[in-house]
Amino acid sequence: MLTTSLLPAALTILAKELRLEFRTRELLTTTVVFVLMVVVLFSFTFEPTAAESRRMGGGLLWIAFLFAGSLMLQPSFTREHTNETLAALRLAPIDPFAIFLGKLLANFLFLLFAELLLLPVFAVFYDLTLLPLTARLLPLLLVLILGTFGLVTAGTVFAAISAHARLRELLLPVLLLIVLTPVLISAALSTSALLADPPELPGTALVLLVSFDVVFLTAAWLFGEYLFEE
Amino acid sequence: MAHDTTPTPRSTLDLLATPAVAVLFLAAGYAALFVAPTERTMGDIQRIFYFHVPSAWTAFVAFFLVFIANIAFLTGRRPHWDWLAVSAAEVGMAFCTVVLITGPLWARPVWGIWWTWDARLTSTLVLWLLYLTYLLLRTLVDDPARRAIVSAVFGIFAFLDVPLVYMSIRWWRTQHPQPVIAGGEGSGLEPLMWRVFLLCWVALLGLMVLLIRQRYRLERARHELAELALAADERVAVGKGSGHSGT
Repeated sequence: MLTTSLLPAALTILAKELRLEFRTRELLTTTVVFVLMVVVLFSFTFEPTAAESRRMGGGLLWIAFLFAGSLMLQPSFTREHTNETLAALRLAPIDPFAIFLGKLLANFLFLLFAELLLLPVFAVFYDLTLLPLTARLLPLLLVLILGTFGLVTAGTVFAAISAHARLRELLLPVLLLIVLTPVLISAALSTSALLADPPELPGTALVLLVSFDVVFLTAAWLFGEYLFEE
Repeated sequence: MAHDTTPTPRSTLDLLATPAVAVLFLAAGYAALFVAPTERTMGDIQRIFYFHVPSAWTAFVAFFLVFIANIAFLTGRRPHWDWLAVSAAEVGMAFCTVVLITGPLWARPVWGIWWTWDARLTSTLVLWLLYLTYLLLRTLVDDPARRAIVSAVFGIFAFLDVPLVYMSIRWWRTQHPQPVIAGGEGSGLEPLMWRVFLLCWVALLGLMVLLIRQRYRLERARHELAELALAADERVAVGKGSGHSGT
């Protein structure tokens, strides 16, 4: 018997995840430092001119986000292992998808926050402009939100999958990176198109990103709860 | 689960299936090499197409079977579906590998390069990597029940990803100049070529069914062995327990 409906239950889980994170802030800090390092290391290997970085910027940025996402998502399930708290969550009279949705939203906020923090740093390092607001920055934020949501949706499901596997820290990126091919292609190319002069937002990329988000969220809703069985 | 320790007797259908597929395969090979007309511009090289493209279609059929088996397993929880899923995935990988090997063999003399990041090539490579990942995941989860569940969920996600991968890669390719002349097979096959092509596909599908069946048997045998080992362990444990109480 479900006593709480999906959304309030998911928000409760979200609040719990946020509270947990803000007590230590370790996941966020480590992720931000990680992305910063990847961005810096890229410039050692490429040393791009302003024109080149406009062309490759989207790719560099999304590769960094993808790596960060594939490394930061594992704790969302493994840290429940310590005190067997996932079992306690499962006993709660809520839809199992609410646990999923709550964790998904928390991961989404964490990664998006790290990305927003690093976007201006990236722009400075690679001599890119994020303005004008309506033509470039807002569409860029839209791509960031849609791409990150897809990344985190697949990532949260796969974190639950790899939580029970050997070599799980290595397995999660393997599972995630190949499945995220559509997200990487559409997010990276549209970011590059938005950094170009004049900026433009390719409609196909938006359609692809939204399709990925919808298909994977629906699949998580239909099949995700099987992952919580003991 | 019934503890049936006697090996299942092979039906006459089983006995006939292997020679039938062998004959079909020989006929397909003969037809592709000697019956099909020589292509005007590519010459004999083009004949690899009769095994290249049907292998791709057969791999798609096998991966679709994986998807069906994954859904059936999650909804019904009968281990048979998990055995079918892993069998079809491995056989599909074999056919997909054939596609990725025969493609460059054809591309080198015709296009002048082994590999290009063309939409179809890239999509096939990503498909191959997706199911490689599926099989890799299965090796890293020890508990059979857990393995069946998580790999079924991943298999469903991987299959749903395929059309998105295909569309995004096609869009990605149109964003960049094509490095390679278009063409290849595609537009309009000669009727005789079509017939040879379909014969080859039927032969490969036959081979696929045969291989999946063999692999499924192996998976079932492994499962039975594990259950027997477990039962034997229990018997030893019980024997020891009663021995202790006797002394």
